[in-house]
Amino acid sequence: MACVDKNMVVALRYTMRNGKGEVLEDMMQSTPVNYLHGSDGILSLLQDQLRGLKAGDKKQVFLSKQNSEADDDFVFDVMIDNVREAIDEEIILGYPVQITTAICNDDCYCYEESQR
Amino acid sequence: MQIHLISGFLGSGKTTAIQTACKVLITESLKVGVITNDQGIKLVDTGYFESNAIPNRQVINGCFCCNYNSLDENIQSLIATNNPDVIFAESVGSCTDIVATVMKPLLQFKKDVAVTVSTFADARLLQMLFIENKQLFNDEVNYIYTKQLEEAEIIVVSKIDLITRETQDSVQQFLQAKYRGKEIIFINGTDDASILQWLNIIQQTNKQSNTSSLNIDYDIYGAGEAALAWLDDEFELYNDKGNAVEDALVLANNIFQQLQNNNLPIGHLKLLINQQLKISYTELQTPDTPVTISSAAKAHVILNARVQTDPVTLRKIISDAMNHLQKEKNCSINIIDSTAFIPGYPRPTHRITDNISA
Repeated sequence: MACVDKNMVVALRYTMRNGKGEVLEDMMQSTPVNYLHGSDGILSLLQDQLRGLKAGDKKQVFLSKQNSEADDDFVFDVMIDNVREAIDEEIILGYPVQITTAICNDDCYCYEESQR
Repeated sequence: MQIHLISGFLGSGKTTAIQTACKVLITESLKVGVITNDQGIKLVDTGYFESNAIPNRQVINGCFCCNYNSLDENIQSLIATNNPDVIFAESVGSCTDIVATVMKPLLQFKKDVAVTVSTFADARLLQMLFIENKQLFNDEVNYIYTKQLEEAEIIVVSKIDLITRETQDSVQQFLQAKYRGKEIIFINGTDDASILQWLNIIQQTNKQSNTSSLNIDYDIYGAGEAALAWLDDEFELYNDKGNAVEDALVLANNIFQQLQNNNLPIGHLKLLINQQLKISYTELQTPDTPVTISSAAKAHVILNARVQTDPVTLRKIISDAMNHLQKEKNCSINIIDSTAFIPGYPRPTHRITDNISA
């Protein structure tokens, strides 16, 4: 199964909390966010923490005041929906164009999500 | 006050252009504010505005069109705290129809503002899509992309520093032929002079909008026909005779049969019973009956259904199956949590198709 790595397109959903534990963004009931791993689509500090994950994996990743320009300590509960190789055009552009619109399939991990 | 609505796909250079535009306007002693709406684990954009003391707000959990009231609150908040001359509002990349759902409502409900809509497009992507005719998008994404260009007052072709003069000429020729009458400009979003060219156009706009609202099919926009309704239920099933797990399995089978009887394509139907037993149905596959069914008076069940229908229909089928089971098996069901929805389906707060006069 494909792992998150350079030149892989990653589709993920997440919940973002601030240092007080308040939910700032809840994307768990939305279409997944797609980004090209290794590009500047999302912060490299967050990308580093996602490396090696596979579709269905969940992980808590962190962005702190100490090691970034963030103005708070943020926690993201991330669920990986899909990982695939980028096409040549996506690598040229630096962002995904073949976006996952099929949100959920038989391989998804809704159980775990529902239990959160 | 001017509100400039900025649309355009992921990677189209919206944020870079807004950052440069803010810098340019501040040097002209104008007060600026920014409202972002981009989905993605970024923070870097907000961080930029914070570090440059540019007042900024965020509309989260959905596009401007579906969160108009939140957009309005953020505009009011910026006015209350900073009284900006210019507000840039950057919509999420997958959003379109903002003339009808954001621009015209703003003009109707806020009489003291001028509103423009600029759609940004990466010059390299335009070249790939329309000159080289590469099929990069699926149908729904392609639909949104072309609708964004179609509704723009101003098409801003970005990243011209990354293309050749020949490519720029061919893209320009295509856009001028395809979108006659629209203002089309080519910019490098990091270049002050380039951004000034754009600012000069949008700052000259008046308070009257003759911009046409889109003729748009919301089912395609929301990928509605292909989209699956999601239903997530968590409930407890009680049976004094110790058949709670067995009843849950009967319920799953009944729901599956009802979905099939109604010819509703099933993405999947899954149950997790007492945190251990997983049952999964798909369109083509029914699960094997578990070898051992434990005796229990209570079953905790998580039910996930992904079915090609609307959430109301799906809700009704599952509720009917639960009611039927309770009568047939003399059991009871206590719903703990229940949601049914279509993810990401656009439901704008307002949609105005008439022209608005100041």
